[in-house]
Amino acid sequence: MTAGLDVVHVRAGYGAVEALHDVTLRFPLGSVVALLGRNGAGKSSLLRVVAGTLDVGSGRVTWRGRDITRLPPHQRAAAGLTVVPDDPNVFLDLSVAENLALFGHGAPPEPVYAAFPELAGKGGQRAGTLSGGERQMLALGRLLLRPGAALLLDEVSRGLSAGAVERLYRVLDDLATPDRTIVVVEQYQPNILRRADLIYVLSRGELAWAGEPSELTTGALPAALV
Amino acid sequence: MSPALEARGVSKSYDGVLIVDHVDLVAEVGRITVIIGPNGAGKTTLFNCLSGVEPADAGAVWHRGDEVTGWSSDALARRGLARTFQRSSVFPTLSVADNLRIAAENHRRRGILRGLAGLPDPGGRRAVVVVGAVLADLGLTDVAEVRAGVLPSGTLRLVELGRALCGEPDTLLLDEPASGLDDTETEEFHQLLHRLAARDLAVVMVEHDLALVHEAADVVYVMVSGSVAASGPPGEVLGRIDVRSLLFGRTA
Amino acid sequence: MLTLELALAGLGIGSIAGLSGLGLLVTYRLTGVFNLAFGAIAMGVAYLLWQEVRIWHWPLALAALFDLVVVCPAFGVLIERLVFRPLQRRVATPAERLVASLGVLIVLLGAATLTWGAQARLDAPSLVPYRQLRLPGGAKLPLGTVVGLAVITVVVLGLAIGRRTSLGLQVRAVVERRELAQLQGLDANRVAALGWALGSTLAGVAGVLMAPTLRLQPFGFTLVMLETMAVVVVARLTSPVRAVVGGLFVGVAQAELTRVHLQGHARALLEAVTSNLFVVALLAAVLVVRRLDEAGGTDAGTTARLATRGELPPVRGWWMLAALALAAPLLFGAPDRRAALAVPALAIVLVSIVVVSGYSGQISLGQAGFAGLGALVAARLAAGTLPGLPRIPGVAVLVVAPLLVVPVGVLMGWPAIRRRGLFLAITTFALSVAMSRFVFEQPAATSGVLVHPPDAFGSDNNFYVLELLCLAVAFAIVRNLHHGRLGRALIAVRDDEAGALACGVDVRRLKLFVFAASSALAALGGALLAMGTRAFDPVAFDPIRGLIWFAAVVVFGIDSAPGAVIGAGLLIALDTSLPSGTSTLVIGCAALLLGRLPGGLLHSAHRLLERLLRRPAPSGPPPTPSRAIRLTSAGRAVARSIHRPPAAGGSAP
Ligand SMILES: Nc1ncnc2c1ncn2[C@@H]1O[C@H](COP(=O)(O)OP(=O)(O)OP(=O)(O)O)[C@@H](O)[C@H]1O
Ligand SMILES: [Mg+2]
Repeated sequence: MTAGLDVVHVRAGYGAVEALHDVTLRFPLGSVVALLGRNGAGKSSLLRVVAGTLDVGSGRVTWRGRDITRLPPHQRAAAGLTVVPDDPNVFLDLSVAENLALFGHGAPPEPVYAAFPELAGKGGQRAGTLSGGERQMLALGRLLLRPGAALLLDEVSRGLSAGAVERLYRVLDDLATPDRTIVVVEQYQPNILRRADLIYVLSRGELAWAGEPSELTTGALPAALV
Repeated sequence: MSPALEARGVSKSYDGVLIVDHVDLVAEVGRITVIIGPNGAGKTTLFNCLSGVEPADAGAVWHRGDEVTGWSSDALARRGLARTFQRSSVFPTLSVADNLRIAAENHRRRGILRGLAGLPDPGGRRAVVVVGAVLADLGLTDVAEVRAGVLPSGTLRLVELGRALCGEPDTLLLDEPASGLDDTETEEFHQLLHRLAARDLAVVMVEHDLALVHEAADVVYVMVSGSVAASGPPGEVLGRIDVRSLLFGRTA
Repeated sequence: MLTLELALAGLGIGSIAGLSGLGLLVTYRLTGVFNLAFGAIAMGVAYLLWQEVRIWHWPLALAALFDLVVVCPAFGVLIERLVFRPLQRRVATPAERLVASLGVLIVLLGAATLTWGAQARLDAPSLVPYRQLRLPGGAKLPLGTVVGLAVITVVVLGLAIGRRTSLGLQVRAVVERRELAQLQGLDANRVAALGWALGSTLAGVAGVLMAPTLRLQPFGFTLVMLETMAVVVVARLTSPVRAVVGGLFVGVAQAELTRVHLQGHARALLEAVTSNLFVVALLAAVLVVRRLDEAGGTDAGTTARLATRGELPPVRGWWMLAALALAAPLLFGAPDRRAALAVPALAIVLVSIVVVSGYSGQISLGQAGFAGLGALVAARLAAGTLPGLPRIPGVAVLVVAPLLVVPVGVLMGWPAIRRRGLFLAITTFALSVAMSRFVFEQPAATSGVLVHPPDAFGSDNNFYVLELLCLAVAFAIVRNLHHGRLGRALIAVRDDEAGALACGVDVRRLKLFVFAASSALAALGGALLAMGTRAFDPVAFDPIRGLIWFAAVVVFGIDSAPGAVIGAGLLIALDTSLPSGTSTLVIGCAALLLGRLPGGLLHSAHRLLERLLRRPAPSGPPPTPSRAIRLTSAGRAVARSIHRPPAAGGSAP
């Protein structure tokens, strides 16, 4: 496995509260990694550190061997990191079509409408008036229009109906190529457990468990999740 | 006995598009009524019409036998119709306990002048007791003094649920209350639902997690494109082929 | 009957108003800031051009080119970098940005007054030679008007085209949510700087085009530009075409009204209406328009998040300083004590702002109007010249007058109740402008008004003690309003209005009540202010003064009553001891720093003191919250529970 995204000895937090205590995680190219953990375990903070929207106290973040720890978020995006962040993850004042134009840098929006027909015909609607699930689908448009070589998804299946979750994971299947890293943060989602090459479980800001889905049967994962 | 909540022919449209289309719904006391349906079906909009957040274009709503069509949401809340929102509406700068306390203090109208004059609030002590009980019930006692804004989204769901409960409601409208909860929390939430129903509350909730619906629901309504496509006991409704294709239908 | 001549003459004023309103609107759309300083920037550039051409004798074209191509964009970039970027970083609300722009306005005003003096200059250089164009049919149109209309057309067209380009989309994305735009690969800082550069260039263009028509005078010029807010409101902050049409319409209407001749009182009224037609339009606009399309307005929380409760640890101990400031004048000599009489009175007015804006986050820029009204009503009550009411003797005036102002406050506050953030700010400002123009400045209302303290309190010492008593009442009201049940409900309304309604909080009633209490307090303060000086001075209750007061309260900490007292003390002390305008400048500078002073001066001073007095806590696991930095008891609980799920840490504050 080649060097993909590496988080090395990272400490980060909000004010005086540290959310990540010396965390080291590797997300190799060509793998789908599930990042699990209970509420407040530090998953979202880790994604923010990688995306560049949360400052690192100490430690490094590298992407394909290049140190990106001090890079501003827009340069990380240019380097191939595509982030679907926590809510709010779309521009509420812009229309659906305008959001997609921003996500795709002008690429035609049809693939999104094909994957999520719920959005078709709503191109002119303001994103702020979409239903919760529709908004989530819109945010996922990033993956369909201009996916980078690293995809970081923060609880993207939340609010989606069972059918839509199926479609989301089919999209991810198509995106999982050898030259790409996919990091999926979820609370608990059988879909991702089935597809992941690697599972990390964070607990209280530290790595609590790491392994492959096949090891799941040992019961180690549920123990770490509690 | 009249149902806790009853809606007849509720409709709502935006920009000429019918979003909620003549929906009839009955929620009985002591029952858990679940609304399921694809994204964008109009579930949240229906909730908004029932709870007075937005006026319905047509139809009527009864709460405990009294017609409450067109009531404002704060008046309905004081009447005992509490709700949570799909997207968190907790007060981020207040502590968890204070979040709950606001609901406990305002579910009956109390004089503003009295507060201004600095007189003690007659219901204040009761409010504190109610808040304490609800915090314990939801397992939030540990974070009672934490500012809500720093809490993870799953915990916020519980805070919002607790806030709804502190108004001592008889009818609860919960919009995707289990989304963002982890496994353990979902299980605890499931238990809580049953405890609530046993306390003679009518619970109406929107939920996507079919497993949870199967276990928890007494009555299921399937909403598709603004109208009710099917309703009945979960075993019956969820097994129907047409319902399954409605829920997973847009897969193609 | 309309005449073409007058209509064409009106187009001159109309195009100026249209251009200025358009500029304000475009700046708002480009930056997300309702830039109150727009007029002040225009004024500054107009003065600069005057300086270059009239004093330094630069060639006009070169000077204009230099100002518009170099100075304006540079100034825009500068204020973006220093003032607005720090605010944007911490996702400040439109309201906070509004106050920061108020800071820019105040500083520019102060700097201009210090540099060029307050007198009007009539020899502003004109970029457009004065020439009349002959239209078919014999009517004449000045070239200046044609140029004005041409510039408007260019801007409107540019906007219509720019909006559709990808750059336009990027600008809107950055305005709405900077962080999300950055994740999308946009260099938000560059885009924002561009927006500000363009916005201030527009202000500059408006300034140099208008200067020859208007008189060049710091306050007057700026206020005229502020009045064109009317057309921005009509345009609901979105439609440039409507803004222009609104401006042209008012201009033409103003010209046509000069033809109407009436007699007696009606004539005075008509004259007042005509010369203040933009104020009338503004008032009508805020009453008629139902909603403004605020940038990021969907869920962005348009209510001001100025208060600090819950976000910062409470400050204690500043009561001492406030009490000291209040006690000191009792030891002063006579002239200083006379000046000090204004301190408690002004403090009450400032506290009235704390009441309405402190916790509920509603921005009221109109407190000067209520204060002035209180002063006027009190004076007339004491003299028995208020129509329909008997003479009220002694101290009772101080109770009756505020109560009489309350219905006015409620009536005028009524449309404001449903509004939040920016719209509320504009509405209250409009009301205060209208009150100033149509009441305070009308001889019919103010002539022959004698003001003096109540009989038993004629001596300065006694009056001062009376003021302190009133201030104590004001404090009690703030305390009861901001603590306990009402305080929590107010914060809930500020944090999430839908959530508050769902909790059963009667939001409308609460807001209206707060509004009423605040207007009564402002009236009380205003009455005392006038009694202290023994005169009713319309200038003391000028709308701009209201803006400065609001900025002062924000600077000292919007939810801090002691802060209001210290602020009042400082304002009065600076005003009496240093050249006039110094206090304004100080407040303005502090407002510019808001991005770096969350919670205001008092909070920052407090934090600094704490940091000096304690050593910072060591970092590293287990995280020990350091009291000195940020944590409240809530924060400590987070730290305690971090070893115990469910606890904090996963989600951003
Ligand atoms: N203000 C509005 N203007 C236009 N369309 C709207 C508006 N509000 C909602 N809609 C549309 O109404 C439909 C129903 O929305 P609603 O939020 O009720 O769906 P929902 O069933 O709750 O979906 P979800 O499961 O995704 O939460 C959506 O398609 C949405 O786009
Ligand atoms: Mg919904």
